[in-house]
Amino acid sequence: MSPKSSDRIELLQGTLDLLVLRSLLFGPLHGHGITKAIQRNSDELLQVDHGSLYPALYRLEQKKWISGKWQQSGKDRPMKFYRLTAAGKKQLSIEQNKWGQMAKAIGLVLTREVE
Amino acid sequence: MLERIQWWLSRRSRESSMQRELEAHIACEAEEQIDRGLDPAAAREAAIKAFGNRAIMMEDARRAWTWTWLGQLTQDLKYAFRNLRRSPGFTAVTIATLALGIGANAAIFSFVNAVLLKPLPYPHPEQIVSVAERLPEGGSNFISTLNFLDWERQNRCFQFLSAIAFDTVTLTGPGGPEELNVHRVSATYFKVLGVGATLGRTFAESEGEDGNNREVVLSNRIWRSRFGGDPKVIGREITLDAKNYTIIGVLQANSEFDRTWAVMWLPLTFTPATMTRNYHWLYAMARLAPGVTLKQARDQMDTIGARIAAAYPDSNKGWGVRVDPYIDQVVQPQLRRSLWVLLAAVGAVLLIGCANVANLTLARGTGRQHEIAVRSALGAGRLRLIRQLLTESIFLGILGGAVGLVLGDAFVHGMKRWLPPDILPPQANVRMDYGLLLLTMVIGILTGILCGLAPALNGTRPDLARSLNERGRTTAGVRPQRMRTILVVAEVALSFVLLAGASLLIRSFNRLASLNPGVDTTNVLAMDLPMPLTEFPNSTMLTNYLREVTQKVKSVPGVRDAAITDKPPMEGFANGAPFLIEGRDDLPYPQRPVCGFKVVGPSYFDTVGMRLLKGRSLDESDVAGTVPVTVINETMAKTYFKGEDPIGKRILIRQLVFGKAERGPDIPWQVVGVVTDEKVGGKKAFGLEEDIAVVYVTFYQSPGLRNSMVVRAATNPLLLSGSIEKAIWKVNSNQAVANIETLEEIKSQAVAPARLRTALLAIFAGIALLLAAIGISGVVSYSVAQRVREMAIRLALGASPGDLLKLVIGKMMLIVMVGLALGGGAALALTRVLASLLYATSPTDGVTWAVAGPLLAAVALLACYFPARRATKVDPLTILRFE
Repeated sequence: MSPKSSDRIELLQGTLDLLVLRSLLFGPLHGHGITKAIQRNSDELLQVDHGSLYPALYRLEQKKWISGKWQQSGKDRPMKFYRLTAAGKKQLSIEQNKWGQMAKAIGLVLTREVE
Repeated sequence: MLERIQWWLSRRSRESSMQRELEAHIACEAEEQIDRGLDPAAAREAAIKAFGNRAIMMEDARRAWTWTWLGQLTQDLKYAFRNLRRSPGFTAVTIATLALGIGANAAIFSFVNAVLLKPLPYPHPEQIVSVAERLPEGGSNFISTLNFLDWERQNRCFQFLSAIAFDTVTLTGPGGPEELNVHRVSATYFKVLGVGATLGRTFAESEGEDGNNREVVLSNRIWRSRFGGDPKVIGREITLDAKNYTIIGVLQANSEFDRTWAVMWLPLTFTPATMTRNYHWLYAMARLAPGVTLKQARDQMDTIGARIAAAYPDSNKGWGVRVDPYIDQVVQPQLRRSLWVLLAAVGAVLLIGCANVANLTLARGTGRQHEIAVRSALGAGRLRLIRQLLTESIFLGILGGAVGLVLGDAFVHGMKRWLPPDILPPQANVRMDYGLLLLTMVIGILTGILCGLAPALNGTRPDLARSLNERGRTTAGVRPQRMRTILVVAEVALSFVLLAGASLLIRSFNRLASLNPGVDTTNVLAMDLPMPLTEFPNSTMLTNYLREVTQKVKSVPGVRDAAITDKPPMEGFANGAPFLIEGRDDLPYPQRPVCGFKVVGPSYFDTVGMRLLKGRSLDESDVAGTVPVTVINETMAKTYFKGEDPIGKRILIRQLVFGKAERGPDIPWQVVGVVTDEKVGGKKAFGLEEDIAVVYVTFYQSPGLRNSMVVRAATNPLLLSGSIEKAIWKVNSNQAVANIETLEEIKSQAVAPARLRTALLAIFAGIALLLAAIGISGVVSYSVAQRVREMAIRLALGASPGDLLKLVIGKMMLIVMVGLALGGGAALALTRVLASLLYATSPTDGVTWAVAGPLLAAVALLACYFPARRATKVDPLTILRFE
């Protein structure tokens, strides 16, 4: 069962790109698959808004970090599968680094005892 | 870049790819739901619901692609185009309205710009002044030689002062004799203007002096037409009036010198014959010396004038000097006023046009509220909607502007061809003003934007539920309704002003055109017979020649009568004559009253159809050596012989000495008859209106070199012009025959400026009326469409179709009446500026107002009636069942 919608966390601005890139690291996925992957990997806490997913996909595609290709999927339905490109991999590590620093920085600020 | 273009070009496949992708996503989602146990239909619905607003999503996705603005623009344009095509009536009317307003404005402004706004095409044009003699009553007059020479010597205020005389010369040589208009000018003439020759040179300072005066400067036009544009023409000799002249220069192409009256410039020389203060024949213009103001120049010339008047009271008492900006002479007040009136008129047409576009757009915008609400409910962003509506307005504005450009260009060309030649000053170089065209286009587009904006803003306000429910059928919103009412009032008022102005001009023009010129203009031909003094050393040779030519022409088959005259009817006088009536107070010469002095052949009155009222006509026996006799006109008899019989009285007029400018002693002309008035006039706007006192004498008794001939034919006289020329050439093969015109043509030229401005204003008023009618009918048909339900209820409750008609029309006509009242007030105030353009018509002319008002009201009524009738054709059952 999925948690109630009020338990879900809205994605932080700018983090969707990172999550999409990361989800594709283990192989090509279609849009629906990406949504599912993010939800699953976040223990159903992160909800991907379709309204932002596809624009983000097109944006990433245009930057050539991912590339989309129509392929047959399991049930005779062609789906557009996105694959991480070399540039995308590089970008992912940059973004991951950035995020790590950011998380660390925020963590520090939030946990520091009041002096 | 290339990549981007490819990206752009592939947008369609990308678009469909997106569609498929989203579809696939939803399908996946639905499958999951089915797996959870929902039936397929419910699963799909749940999937769609979970997905959210697909339209917004797609729009956002598109935004992720670069160049979305271009995509949106093409989308908007396509949409606008589709929309406009769906309502061709609205589109056509709007574009036509804008095009008319824009085109007419650009065209008229081109004229205003060329004639009134652009400075004269000379360096420092504000320094150029015209100088003339000032008559005792203040008017200006030609200048006598000796006065001019005194001015030239004594003034310190002019850098250059130049005299100009109008003359015609006969050019002989290969190509036959040709009469040419020339200006004889002082050597400083081109220095006053500050222009040089494009080929060769203009006059050098010393050439004004006697003995060195056989040089000629050509206009570019005659250089090309008569001398083949030959660059080696400089230094060539040509024969003018049997004298050899050397060509020294050619003036600029397409300059005012190509459009002016003269085609050649010759040095002005003062022969002993013109060395007098009584013979006024020169124009003058000058360039102010550096640092000298107009006022200083006037003061100085006043002093000089007063000094001359004191020294020579016999000729100059009461006379002075006038110095005026040259521009005032170039652009006559009537032309100036006509152009401003026309500009105001087209401006009003544009305003009415804009009001119309506003009205139509408003009506359409309100009608589209439902559509906008639907779009907005489907996820269209507010800005996106506004942009889309504006695209439509701008698209219309640009289309209107483009058609206006074509229209304006055609209008300028047509006007230039249609304009009578002398109506614009030669300095005016009329060209399409593209700057203004752009400006009017922007006005048109702005109108579109402003009017498009109101419904766009209104319609996109998110009161969706209401708009969707009402389906835009009931209350149309109070604001646009009131705005449309105001627009209609404004349109009607403006139209009324134009209509009143045009009716006044039409009435004035009709009076002017139906003016009795005092001569019978049917089948009469006039032509000039220029003759150089060199061919007629004495007056007897001349009078014999004139008699012989007259007889030869009379014997041409088809010719009824022919006569010599020094000026054809309606073309002014060759001479004015200060006169005294014998036995009355002896006045000093400069104070004598002046009458017209016309030298004619004895058959003149019969030829042009003037009736003898009293006494006898002039006769072939009234020749040199017999008693000098005159026939006077009715005005002369009434003005100067009140209650007396003029027959037998003698009028003292100084003799015009043959071959000399200086007048001789007084000749006592004995009055032998009185004839009806002819309108002598001149080629001025209302030259025909004045009644002038004239004395007529025979050319035998006052021979001169300025001669024309009038010929009355049995039928169309233009057919005879060839045989008349041949008859004249039988007497003298070197005789040039110039300016062959019928009296009808001369008469129509005299009223040409009046006809032109009348026609133009009438056209503009017609357009205004049409636009106002379109506006009214648009508003009525719109409000009828809005109130269909109300009408249906009224019908159902027992109102008759007539009641409904009365209801709709009554309300609209009330608005029209308000417009009429406002317009009437404005017109009453504004038509005053027309006063100086009207002939024998008061700006408050009752008939005009009585016609213009009801005409506009009738047009408005018709414009209401047709759309209003639709209200009565409503089928209440159909409408009410629809609820």
